[in-house]
Amino acid sequence: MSAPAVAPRRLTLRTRSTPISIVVGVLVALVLWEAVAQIAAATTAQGDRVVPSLVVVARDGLLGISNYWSGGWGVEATASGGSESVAGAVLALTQGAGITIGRVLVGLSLAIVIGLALGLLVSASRPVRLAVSGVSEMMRMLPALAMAPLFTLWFGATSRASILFIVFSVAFIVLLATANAVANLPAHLVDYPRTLGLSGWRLWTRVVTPAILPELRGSLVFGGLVAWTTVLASEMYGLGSGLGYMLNDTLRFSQVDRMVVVALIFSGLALATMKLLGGGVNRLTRWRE
Amino acid sequence: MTITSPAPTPIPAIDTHGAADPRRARRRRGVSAVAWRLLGIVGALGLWQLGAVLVDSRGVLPGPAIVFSELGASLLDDPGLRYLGVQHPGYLYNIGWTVGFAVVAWLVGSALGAAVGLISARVQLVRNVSEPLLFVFGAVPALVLAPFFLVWFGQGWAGKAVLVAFYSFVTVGLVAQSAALSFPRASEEYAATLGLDTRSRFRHVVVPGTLPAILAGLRIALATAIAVQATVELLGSQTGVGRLIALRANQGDVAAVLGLSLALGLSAMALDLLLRVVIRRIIRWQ
Amino acid sequence: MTTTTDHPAFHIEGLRVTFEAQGRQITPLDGLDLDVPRGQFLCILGPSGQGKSTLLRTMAGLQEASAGTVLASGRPVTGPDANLGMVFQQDAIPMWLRVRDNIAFGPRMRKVPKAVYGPRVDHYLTEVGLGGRERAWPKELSGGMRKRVAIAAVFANDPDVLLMDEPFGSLDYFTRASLHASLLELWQETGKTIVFVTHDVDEAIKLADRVVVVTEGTVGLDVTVDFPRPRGDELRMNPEADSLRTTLLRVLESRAGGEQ
Repeated sequence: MSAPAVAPRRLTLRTRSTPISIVVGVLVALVLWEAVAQIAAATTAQGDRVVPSLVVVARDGLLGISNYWSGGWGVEATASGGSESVAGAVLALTQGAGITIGRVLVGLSLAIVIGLALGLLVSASRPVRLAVSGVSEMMRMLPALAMAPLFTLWFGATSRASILFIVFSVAFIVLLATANAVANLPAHLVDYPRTLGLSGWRLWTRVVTPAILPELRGSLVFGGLVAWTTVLASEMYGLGSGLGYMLNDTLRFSQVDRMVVVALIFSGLALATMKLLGGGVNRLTRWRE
Repeated sequence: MTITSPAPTPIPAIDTHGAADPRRARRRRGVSAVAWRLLGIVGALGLWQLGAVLVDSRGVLPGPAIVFSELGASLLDDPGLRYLGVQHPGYLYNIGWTVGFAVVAWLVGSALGAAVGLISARVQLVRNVSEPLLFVFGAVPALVLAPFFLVWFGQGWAGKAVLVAFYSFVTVGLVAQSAALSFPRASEEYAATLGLDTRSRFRHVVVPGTLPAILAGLRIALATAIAVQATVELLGSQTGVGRLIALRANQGDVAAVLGLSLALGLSAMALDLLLRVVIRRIIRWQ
Repeated sequence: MTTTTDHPAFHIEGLRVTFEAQGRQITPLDGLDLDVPRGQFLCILGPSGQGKSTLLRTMAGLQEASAGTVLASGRPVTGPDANLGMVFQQDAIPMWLRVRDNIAFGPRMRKVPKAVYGPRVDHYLTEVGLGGRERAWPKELSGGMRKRVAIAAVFANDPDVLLMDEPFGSLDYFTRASLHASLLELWQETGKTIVFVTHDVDEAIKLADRVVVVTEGTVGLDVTVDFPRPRGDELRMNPEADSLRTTLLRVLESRAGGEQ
């Protein structure tokens, strides 16, 4: 008997996510930042450089970003005599964000396809699965993030280096999760379609793949976060374009006002794509209980 | 119609140890599993060596033999790095530095994360306060904070420790929260009907019941915590594996970068194994 | 504690329970009256989704009443209580405690002196047939054995009443029969009041002093079952039992369809 979700007494209360608390939290963070900025500016000589006021961030920080615009679309680069402008900043941010998002999307899609395909392939035989998961578990323990320089050494400061780096970091996660999920699949889920006459390729694509999706859900979302972390590490170390590069550049000159702008844009984009990814995976597995 | 009954067969004694001693069978399967895994690793090393022979350029892909022998030679001291002005160039010292700080920060951050995550699943006020952090940094790499910490705390250990602790806090916090949210209601209700009050239900039912999930989260966080520590060292530090990787990468020394990464990975793996043994002892009931 | 023996185990009057489930307001119980005398073995029967579990949860203090009175031993039920023990349909026992610790869980958490609960724990442990398995983890036990742990744990906590929510629903016929025997033995030994929810008519006839059918939020039928105990296979041949079975099935059938 399926008991309806009985409204119990407080004793088994589960908290809920409240969107308003997120909004309030962000506002509190802004107010705290501004308070620290005012205190720092009043008490130390360099305070306004270390924690700039939000007004400074919105004005100097945003305008300063236009220095990253290389010219075009009617806005001249500051290096060739153009003045700092909001239009230039918007163009520079759009360009950087586009490059970063492109790398994440291509890298993540490749990693998922490769990881899933290899994971299913190695699941076909127990020895192969064990042998490959042994290696994958080792690879997973490597400090992949800190290996960013390796990919620039191999492939230069190019998008290719960044994308392959993402594939390298994420594919093992998907592969391991796929192999585990197939190994944990209850036998009857596969036996029933076999009694209906399915076999071979169709069995794997029509039955096994959808059946493991719910268990893969967490790993796919986690893989998305790793992809964003990886692209950040790769762009901060060695690449000459993308939001990560801009972030590292502001670090080199300790321009915290610009740093805040780039970090906020990056966070917003990462947040949005991750929520989209999570929602997408949830949609794919909405049949589950 | 006649019903013929077969000769009564003696009822076999119930074998309380299970038909064919599943425990021994499991152990046998376990041994072969380890063997296959080892074989896979040996195979991967072989492929790597083969690739190195085919590429035939140690500047691009040095083989495992070269990487490991150079790693061994630099474990205690490295004149080249000393020449570059590194105060403690021995790899072991730097591995110890990176792993040591990462583990301490991971422990502190995870403990806080587990506590906040669990309580946030039961107390709406705590959920409201922690939600912004967990919501944002559940989907945004904590690494984005690294440049700020480098400006504010400098290149010393403090900023890195805070960042690694924060990363562990978010990771373990989210795991603990979802474990407590999906914990079976009946178990808590059962404890309540035995007369346990809210506090002891939390301490003696929710905490032990969600422990397996939390410990699994701790394992996931450990490897990444070490990687995050090394990555921030890459961006700015005086000591640590990340700093050495940055120096060697500037010289285009692929063998050293691979060797340092592998050494850090092996340390992480050793810690993970240790953690697994400890965890298995703690949750023998699973 | 002078009141306990003068009052019935439960006195329920005008009980109404309403709550929100899956976005809509439902009222599983409406205007229900029920008295349960001390020491009775009462079975509550009912079609799925017509309030029998809600009634039991309300009696256990796990569910709040929207209107009406629920008195246990003369005192209003305001929440779960060590005097109102419950055996759940699912496995609810802590999986991280070995069998003996599991049975001792309640009294130990309530800081009952060890000298008091120790012998009680050992007694019920043997009584339900778990002797020799004291150190086993629940994962090593079969579903039936885990139910035995749950039953022993509730008895060891020494409540006034045992509330059982389809406890044997997921077990096979023989395991169930053997658990019935153990439960009846414990009931006769301790004289505790037992309220047992089931959807199985045969189970109810075999166990109960009295069967109450809950339909459409109220007591639809209330019959006394006075076949001699122990009730074995001869009950199947008993024409009276047969007509009782038919009556109960007919009531259940006419009210079924509340399936959600």
